[in-house]
Amino acid sequence: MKTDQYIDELINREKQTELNPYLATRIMSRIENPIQKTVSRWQTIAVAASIVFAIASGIGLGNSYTSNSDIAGGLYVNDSQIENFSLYNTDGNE
Amino acid sequence: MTEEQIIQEILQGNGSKFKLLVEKYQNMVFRTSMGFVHNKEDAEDLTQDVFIRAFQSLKTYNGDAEFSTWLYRITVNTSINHLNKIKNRGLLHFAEDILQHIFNRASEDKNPQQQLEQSERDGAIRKAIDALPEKQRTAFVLSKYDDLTQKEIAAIMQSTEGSVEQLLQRAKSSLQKRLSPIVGK
Repeated sequence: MKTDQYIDELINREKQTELNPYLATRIMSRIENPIQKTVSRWQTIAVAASIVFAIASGIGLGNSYTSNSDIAGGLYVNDSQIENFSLYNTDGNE
Repeated sequence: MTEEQIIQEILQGNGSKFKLLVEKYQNMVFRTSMGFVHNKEDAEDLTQDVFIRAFQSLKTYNGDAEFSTWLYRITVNTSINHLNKIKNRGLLHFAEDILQHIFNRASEDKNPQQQLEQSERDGAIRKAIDALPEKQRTAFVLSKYDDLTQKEIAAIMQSTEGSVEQLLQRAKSSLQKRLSPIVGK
């Protein structure tokens, strides 16, 4: 049948695909030199510890803040006394 | 040097002897992987993974079955696991197929129209094979890509010859049903 013929044709083409001649060497190299973990356990622990330290420092600093709401005095400034607007009024100086 | 002797030497620490097994079986593993992934690069990656897994679990090989049967089982399992991982890559895979067949595989004696028709037909066939249930697909690949007998397939799948025959018949009729309206016109 036509369908069978097409299927067999495709399979035969796929079967003829040539293997990389260096594949065996690549496999042996991966077996003899397994990929090392790029991040060591101690590095992970150090990063985790520094994150914990940063968070704890933030919480500590936040807790050490006390507001000075008991300050009684304040600075009173009367803006209208700083500069006399009439100085800029040309009508009065003519 | 027999296979058993090679395996014994590897287990005693002479890992370099594994290369003899790789060289002997790499084509077999690659061909089976091709049946599952239909793509050279993926099949080569799978071949590497299969041999690394085989090396790591060589001490579990007890010699009950042929070494090739044991290796076929690893190949089938590794391929199926890989396919389950990339299940959602459908569209990308399809585009890859089309490009690969247009630029690399299409035979030069065909005009662009014929090449396009062939790549569409190939895509439909691959899709139909990929849509087969896991066991039917395994039996089909081992039968068609590796030309194994039903007895050999039964040994790999740890099943009976009768059930392998049934799987192959179902796979064939399922492919016919799916592909006849598309490619058999």
